[in-house]
Amino acid sequence: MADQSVHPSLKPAPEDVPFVLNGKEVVGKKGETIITVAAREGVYIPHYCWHPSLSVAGNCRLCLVEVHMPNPRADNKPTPLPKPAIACQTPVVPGMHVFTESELAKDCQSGMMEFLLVNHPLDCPICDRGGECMLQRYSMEYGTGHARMVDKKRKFKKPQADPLIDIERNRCIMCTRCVRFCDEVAGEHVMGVFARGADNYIGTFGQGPVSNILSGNVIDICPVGCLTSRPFRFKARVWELVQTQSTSVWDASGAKVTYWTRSNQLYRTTPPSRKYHETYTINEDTAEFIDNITRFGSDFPAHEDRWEESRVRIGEGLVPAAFREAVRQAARGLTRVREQHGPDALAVLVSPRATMEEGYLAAKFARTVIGTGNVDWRMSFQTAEASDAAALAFSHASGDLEDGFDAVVLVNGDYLHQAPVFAMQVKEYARLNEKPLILIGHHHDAYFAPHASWQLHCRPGETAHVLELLALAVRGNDNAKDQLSAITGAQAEELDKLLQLLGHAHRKGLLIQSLEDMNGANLPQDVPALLGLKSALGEAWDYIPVLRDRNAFGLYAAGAQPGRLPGAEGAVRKAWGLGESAALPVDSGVPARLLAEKIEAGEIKGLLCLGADILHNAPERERLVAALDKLEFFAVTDLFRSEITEKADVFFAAASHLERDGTYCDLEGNLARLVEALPPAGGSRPDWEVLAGIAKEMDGRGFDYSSVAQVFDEMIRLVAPDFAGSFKALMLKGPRNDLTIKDPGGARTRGPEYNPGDYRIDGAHFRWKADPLPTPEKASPAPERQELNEGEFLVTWGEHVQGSDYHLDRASIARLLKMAPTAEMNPEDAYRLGLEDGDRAVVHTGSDSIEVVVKVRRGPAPGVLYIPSGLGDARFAGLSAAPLARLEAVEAGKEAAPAG
Amino acid sequence: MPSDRLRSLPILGSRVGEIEEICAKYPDRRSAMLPVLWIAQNQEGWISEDTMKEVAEIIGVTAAEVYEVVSFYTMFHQHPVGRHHIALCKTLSCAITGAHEVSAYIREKYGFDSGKNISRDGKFSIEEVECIGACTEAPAMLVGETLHGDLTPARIDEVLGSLDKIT
Ligand code: SF4
Ligand code: SF4
Ligand code: FES
Ligand code: FES
Repeated sequence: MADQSVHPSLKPAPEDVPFVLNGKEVVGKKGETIITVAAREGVYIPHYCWHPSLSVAGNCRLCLVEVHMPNPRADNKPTPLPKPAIACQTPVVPGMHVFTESELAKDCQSGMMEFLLVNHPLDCPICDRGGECMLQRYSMEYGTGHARMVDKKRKFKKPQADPLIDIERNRCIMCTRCVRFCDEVAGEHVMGVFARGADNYIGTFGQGPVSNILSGNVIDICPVGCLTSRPFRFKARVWELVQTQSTSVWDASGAKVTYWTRSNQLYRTTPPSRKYHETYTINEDTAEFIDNITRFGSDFPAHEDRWEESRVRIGEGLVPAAFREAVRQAARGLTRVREQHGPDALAVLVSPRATMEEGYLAAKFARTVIGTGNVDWRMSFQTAEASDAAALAFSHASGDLEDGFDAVVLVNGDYLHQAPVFAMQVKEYARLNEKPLILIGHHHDAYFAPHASWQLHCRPGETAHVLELLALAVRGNDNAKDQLSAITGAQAEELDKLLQLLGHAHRKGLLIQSLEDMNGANLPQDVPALLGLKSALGEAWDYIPVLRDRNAFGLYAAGAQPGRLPGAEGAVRKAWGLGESAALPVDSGVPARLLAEKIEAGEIKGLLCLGADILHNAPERERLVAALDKLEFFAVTDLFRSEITEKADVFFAAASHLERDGTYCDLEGNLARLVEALPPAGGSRPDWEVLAGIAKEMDGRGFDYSSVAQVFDEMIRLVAPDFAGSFKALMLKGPRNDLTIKDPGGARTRGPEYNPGDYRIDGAHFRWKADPLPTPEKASPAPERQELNEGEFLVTWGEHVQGSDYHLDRASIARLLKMAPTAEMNPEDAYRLGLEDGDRAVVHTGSDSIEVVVKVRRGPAPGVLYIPSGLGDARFAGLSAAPLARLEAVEAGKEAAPAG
Repeated sequence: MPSDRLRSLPILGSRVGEIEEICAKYPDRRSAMLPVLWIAQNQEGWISEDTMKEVAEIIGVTAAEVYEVVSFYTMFHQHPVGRHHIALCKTLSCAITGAHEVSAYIREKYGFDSGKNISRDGKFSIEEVECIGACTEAPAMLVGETLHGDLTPARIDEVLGSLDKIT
């Protein structure tokens, strides 16, 4: 339990520490180290093991500096310390003099470089790190340029531990950055330093993989070529690649990335590169970590199934056609359906990965050109009610991690696998600033559990009840507190402490809720319950709903869903050229989730689908695909040929996320640019051109855009009143290639330039102004608890960013990473069943059986089994969602019992 | 942590009582890593990956952390050893006074295949270690925990031969 007595925000600010750095008077804070203050002052001290996001190890000794201390025995005259000091660990002291460039310091640096190179293979010509290697760079800047080492160098065997990360131990300088990253940031001590002295090496236990969704970051933070990317291995030299600063198409956290390309091909994806010594290179001290899906899953457009030409149906087949011809056919098809069956027989679907501009145009197109409110992106929800609950959640979203928090409440969710970078930022902020984490619900994220101050577990279906009780208890209702204690099993005094913490008026709190499938059935109750709690807690509490869909917020903001316009109605009418009395359907739309049903019922007869992934990833995929046959007209934009494109009357070859511009909004409401890194492949076009083309063909007015920047301009003026911050920066920068920065050093980069730590230079922040929901007068009745027999569990299914996805299945990560199905359970259940982490078991639900690897975590509540749907073998699209399951252990060495 | 679960561990389950006593001496269970590893090694003769996993579970760390410690200390064996383990000093004093010859003699006489550190019958294993602090009696070796100095072929046979007979 974190110390609640003195809250960090109440502790006095640390004292100032004036000292002298290279002859200049500077001021640090008490407790800061020399290297941190120097970095702030623009003085670069070479370092390997120090990393701003990690604890101090002090083992590489490259940061040695000369220090003179005031000597009390000599009138406080600065006197040299007998030995140089390491800048990464030595705290600043008033009156000290630090020299980072003196003879002694330089001597230390070159001496340490020589030591580090004693066993280094110096195989730069075949090393993937060449060109962005800290060892190479420091050798040039601080080294002596020659070696005196004559003995044989130490050689390790090459282990093959991880499918994504290549280890070349001979190049390791034992800085332990990778070990500390896994331990501290990724949350599991899976990498270690083994053996001793000169035989030291890094690796994993039993040569296992570095099994974390954030593990790819060890590649960037490794200062040398020991850890390199497997898919990128030997593919290109980094200085030959063009860098484009863009954003992740996967992570709803809105991670910024650099796409590294050459001759129309994506070579790798990294966190944003930075300008260093006149060239752009990856930033070895980056704190902008990205998840493995973004890193290894962004190359799907290169898959062989790609169709690069538009096609139209002639008889049974789809034949390649010019883009204009495809546009004409689509316009004709849509017009025909509208004339015969009315505008509401048509629907427009937008992929949750569409840009805001595309969503905006789709909304405008459906409402003005077709004249229907049937436009939606919300396919991933279990039920239509859940998608409405999500809309409610979005309308109250307000939080931003940038502002920090004093306490954070996370309700049900597998956040690390739903919005990895966001989850990491929340955990790291709480961990480093000692802020309390409170987990509530039937499934807690195991990533947060070890750091949690409170875990209130309940059964599936009880979350809303627990939240209501908590809201009442915060309001001082003792009865509610007792009930809360009974249902969650939490001790009364624990709850008292929690209530005291929550009740602190000065606190800035954050409520986080997952809108993912695992809670699908309960979202309609859970969302209002948490919003009720928010009201009870007061103004100082913010709310962030979390959804895997990359641009969920952006599409919501752009009005691409029933019941929502991109701005105030009057302004929208004016911008869209609609008079007071002209029809503007808003609330009448069919939710995407009901599409299959509506097509089967013959109510929807024509469909324009922007991004077929929305259909492929639909929870009811089979039903939906079958229903497509009943459509009179179906046009789709997609990257790949698939069984869905086979059914299309018109197919538009879509430009991928690498091949188009646009704007994404993350779940904190920050905007990020998607920047064209490659020209569109073959005849493919971005979806906004498709929409504008069809609209013009159908005589729609106001679709004469010549660039996506114009769409953005029109849209942002409408959406802007929802912004809390300034959006000037955003308006000034067009999203096209006028942002290209030509670099004299040779490496080229384009896209907005992000400064370290500055996530908002190009963005502003959404804050919707929904009225707070009232706190309930009394809690809804508690749902009845089901008795569980030995071995029986309530299953909660989870969607995982690493889960099966139409696009991800075509990326290199799907080829390389073999995931086994897993089932997470509470230690209590595991002990009772005699199961251990890593054991195998069979889960029987309804008529299905699957073999899983057991994970024992403090995430799921007792009696709850959490099964995430993962890549490849770990996908469960076909499993019945039976809530009750029986689990049977598989004895080591024995085969699983046959299914049934 | 329910100790039923720990008691059911195949390797260290029966030692849980002792282990818990040791853990109780430290503010943090993980601090008991070394003594728990010693219990394991004394029982098993060496420390396997499975043992490391059990130790990890008992004291609440990851297996990688246990392996870090085991691989750091050469006195923890990561491979099976013979019934009698010989730690032969190879540092300066012993090297000068004939440690190499001692090693060659033992390996030849007591049935070690070349390149192997365990004898064919599994009775002896040998390991070359750094100075064991018996330089005045160099060359020296430890058999189990007993020190034997001033080694000559006769002395070696006397020590190892008697052990050889016991089983
Ligand atoms: S790690 Fe750096 S110095 Fe070493 S071989 Fe690779 S590029 Fe060269
Ligand atoms: S692998 Fe890289 S990051 Fe890890 S210890 Fe070695 S040099 Fe450092
Ligand atoms: S950076 Fe200071 S010792 Fe490595
Ligand atoms: S050198 Fe062998 S005991 Fe000291």
